[in-house]
Amino acid sequence: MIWQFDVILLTLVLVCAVISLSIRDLMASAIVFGAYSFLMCLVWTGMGAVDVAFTEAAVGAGVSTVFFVATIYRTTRQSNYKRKDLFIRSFSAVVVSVVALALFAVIADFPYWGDPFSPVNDYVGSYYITHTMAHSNVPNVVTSVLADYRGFDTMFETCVVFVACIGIYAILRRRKKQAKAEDTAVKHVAHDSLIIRVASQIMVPFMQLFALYVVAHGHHSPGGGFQGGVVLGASVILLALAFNVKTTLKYLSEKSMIAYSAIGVLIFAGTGLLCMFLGGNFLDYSVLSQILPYTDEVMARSHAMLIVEIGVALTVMSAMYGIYLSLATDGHFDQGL
Amino acid sequence: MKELLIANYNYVVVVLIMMIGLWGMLALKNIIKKCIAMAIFQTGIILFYISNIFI
Repeated sequence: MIWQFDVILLTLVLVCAVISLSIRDLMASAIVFGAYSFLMCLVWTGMGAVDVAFTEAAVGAGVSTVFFVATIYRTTRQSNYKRKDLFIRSFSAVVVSVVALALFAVIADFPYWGDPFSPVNDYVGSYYITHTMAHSNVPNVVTSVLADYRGFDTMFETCVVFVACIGIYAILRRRKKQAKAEDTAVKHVAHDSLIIRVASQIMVPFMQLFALYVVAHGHHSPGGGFQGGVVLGASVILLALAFNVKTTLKYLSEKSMIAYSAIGVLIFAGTGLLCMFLGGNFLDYSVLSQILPYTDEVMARSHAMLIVEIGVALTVMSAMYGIYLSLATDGHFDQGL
Repeated sequence: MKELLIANYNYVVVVLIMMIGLWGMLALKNIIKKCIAMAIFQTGIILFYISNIFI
């Protein structure tokens, strides 16, 4: 990466971080945070971490901005500031600067930026880079580390997404009886725009096709289950934003949302269990060659990564959708923004 | 001096971003602001990982 770009982008990132925390208007704060995420995504792409940048663009700038906007719509737009807050602000500024000084003191000990002989690059990383093609025939080393060598991490990461969705759903879901009593003022404000509806109708199929491509092609190019799942979820959320929640509930109902997010985790953990039944270790995909037709042990690992990624994509997609629905409808699952 | 600054600029930014996020989580009362601060802290940590492995 050209170092001038790095310096400029990182400076802009810092500016965006400060602005998004200091603006009083919460909506502006969420939007500036989206800009922050996109700039950060450029920095990471420049350093060759395209998969991470992809995730940041989809999750940080895309979906979480939508979550923030949905929450702000349902609550209040102004963050108020009282005089007595000044004390805690300055006190925590002192605490934070002490931590910062301690961290600055050790910066000189880190390997230089771009140093090929830094300790992180020497041991396990070079092993993965040299052995991935022989072990699993997957050109994208990131996916093979994520889904194969470090399969446990990814499995529990998927569980975290699932638990987050279930938790938000369980906290925010409200029964119908309470719903009648309040919210009459908010309910019948329809924001209909023909342009937005037609444009999103055209965009959604292409987004979903791209998401399926990202999932299916994840071990040959940047992408994978998380990225594809988020893009898939974002396409459904776009429909829910442009029309209303009732329209999307026809295609993906509340029950199937919960079911899909559980099935995704089941696919991942089930693949691991299946490996155990066939005589290997948990998530040791090479033994799957016994039941997959026409595959040797190397290709079995490659195919099993695809299976596992499909599970991840299912969970992530329905979790994003479920979290959006819970936030945007205030737990009623009827009208939406 | 200039080379040393460039070689370590990423780490300086990592520390600054993480501290901005930490300050936001400690000092700000609004929960949405706290969430944004947490996300900023998290991106700082990921930037640290990626700066380490960049060749």
